[in-house]
Amino acid sequence: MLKKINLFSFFKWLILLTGAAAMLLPFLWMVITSIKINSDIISYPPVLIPNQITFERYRRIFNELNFGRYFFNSIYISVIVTAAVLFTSSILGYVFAKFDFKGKNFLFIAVLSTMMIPFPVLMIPLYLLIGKVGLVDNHLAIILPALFNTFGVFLMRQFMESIPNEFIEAGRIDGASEFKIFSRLILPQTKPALAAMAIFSFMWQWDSYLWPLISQSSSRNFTLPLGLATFSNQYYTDYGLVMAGATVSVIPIIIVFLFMQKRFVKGITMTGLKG
Amino acid sequence: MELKTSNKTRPGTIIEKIKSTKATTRFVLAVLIPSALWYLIFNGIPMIYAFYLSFFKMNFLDPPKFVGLQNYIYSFTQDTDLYLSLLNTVNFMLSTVLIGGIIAFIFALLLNDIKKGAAFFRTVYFLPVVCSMVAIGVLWTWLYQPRFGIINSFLQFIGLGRLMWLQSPDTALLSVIVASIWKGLGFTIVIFLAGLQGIPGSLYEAAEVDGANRFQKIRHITIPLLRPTFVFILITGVINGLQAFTQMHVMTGGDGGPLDSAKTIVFHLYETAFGNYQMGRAASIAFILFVIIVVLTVIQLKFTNKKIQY
Repeated sequence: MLKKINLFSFFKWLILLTGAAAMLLPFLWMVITSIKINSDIISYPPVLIPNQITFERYRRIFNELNFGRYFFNSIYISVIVTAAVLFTSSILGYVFAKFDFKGKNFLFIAVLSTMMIPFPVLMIPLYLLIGKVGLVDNHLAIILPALFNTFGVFLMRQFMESIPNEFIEAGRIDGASEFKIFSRLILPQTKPALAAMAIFSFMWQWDSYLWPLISQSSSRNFTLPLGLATFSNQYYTDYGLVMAGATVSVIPIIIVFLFMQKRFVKGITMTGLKG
Repeated sequence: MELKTSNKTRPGTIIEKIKSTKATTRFVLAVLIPSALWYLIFNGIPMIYAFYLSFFKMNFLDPPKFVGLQNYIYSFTQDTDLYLSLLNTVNFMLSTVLIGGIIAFIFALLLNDIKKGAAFFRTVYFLPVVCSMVAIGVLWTWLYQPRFGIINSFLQFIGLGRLMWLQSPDTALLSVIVASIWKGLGFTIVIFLAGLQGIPGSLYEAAEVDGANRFQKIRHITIPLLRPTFVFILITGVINGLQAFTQMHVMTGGDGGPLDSAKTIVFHLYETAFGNYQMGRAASIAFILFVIIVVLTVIQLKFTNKKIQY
């Protein structure tokens, strides 16, 4: 019996460690490729530990290529969209959770039903729309259609419902305005949901590719995914340079993740369990 | 997703008493009017317009022309690219959902079984999830590189032959599938772990008293009780898989792979609309996709509304 348990334990750890290696080695190989000299990159057998390393490619990534710009674009668009989504989701969720008005159920169902619309259905009309109003190759074309997030509205409404009405009552007795009641009394109590939403919304925007690809055309307006994809297509034979580009694209987000991973995982399970 | 009917205000609460004051009405309207406008401009009207477009021939050169059902008829009878891309999409979706799901389930079970190190493994498995799909696609394209890529070097080292991976019609989609499973695995593991932690430990203890072994416990307790998690992963995987585009676009350099072997339905839609500027035809493809997704969502609602009994 003891032997059987040990055998199981052995395989358990073997599988888990193999899995971890399978996850880590590609990243490691990406970094190693980016600092190897060119002759090492194309040699067989592959040079696992380079004797000679170079950081020249990283200098090029930031000085000659537009990566600094891509980064800036991605960060500022993702921050604006996330801030907007947190605000719109919580205030609309609050109204749906705590107020009664005519047609509320109809409106709520109408809003929820938009979750079923796949983005590819909307992208053609949206493209024609931004063409009409002159927003092609403008970041507003990315930001404006992302100001609301229906799943966020749904999540915040669920969360707001669990807040006792007494808080609103107390605010009204104190003579606070409706907006102040929302922003000072209700919002601070939804921090876990807001944190989860922030992570979900930021990652979703950060990862977004199809719509920026359609709506942006000049390199200075590219987001990081779009810039990286275009650049890797252009320099596809310069493997080291492409891997340097990939490295600078993933390292910052991995560092952020390592610092706040508990929140990340919580946020993902909370928002991931949508549907 | 469970839709509860709206929270009824309890009798006697302040909301009911002052629900029609000027201040509350003003607040509600100040929120609802801009929201409604946004939903109309960015969801409602585009949706209707897409439907309208699907009955027109529209290519930016000539004025739009009403063609009735012709776009749909073309899609179903002559658009061989649509047929091929639909096949590729289904292949991709089933492979990622089923194989990815089974691997993630096994890893979640093992992770749930250890105490020391579980946090470390979870972190490591989750790393690709936080990276952008484009970065992952670029990274794997290098790993798959036929001449200098590490995968072929490894295959050669252990005495197997080299493969063309993304550059062969036989393996291009497979290559994308493997990279996609690799990227999504950590996410699915975390969802499974959340489900596993919701199963009361007393059930396992009771089974142990009855003399159940490890596999019997998984078979008769874990799997039946995780049914909602399985359904969730299946349905979201299917809906996301149906819309897969980024990894194919990045890993095939934007051309869909040799003989279009990695072209998905959204890829085909994208090319029809923004490569060939056949907007009406593309709109009809979009609506076919929409109908498939609505049907799947309705099935999902049916499934998840059934409560499980302990």
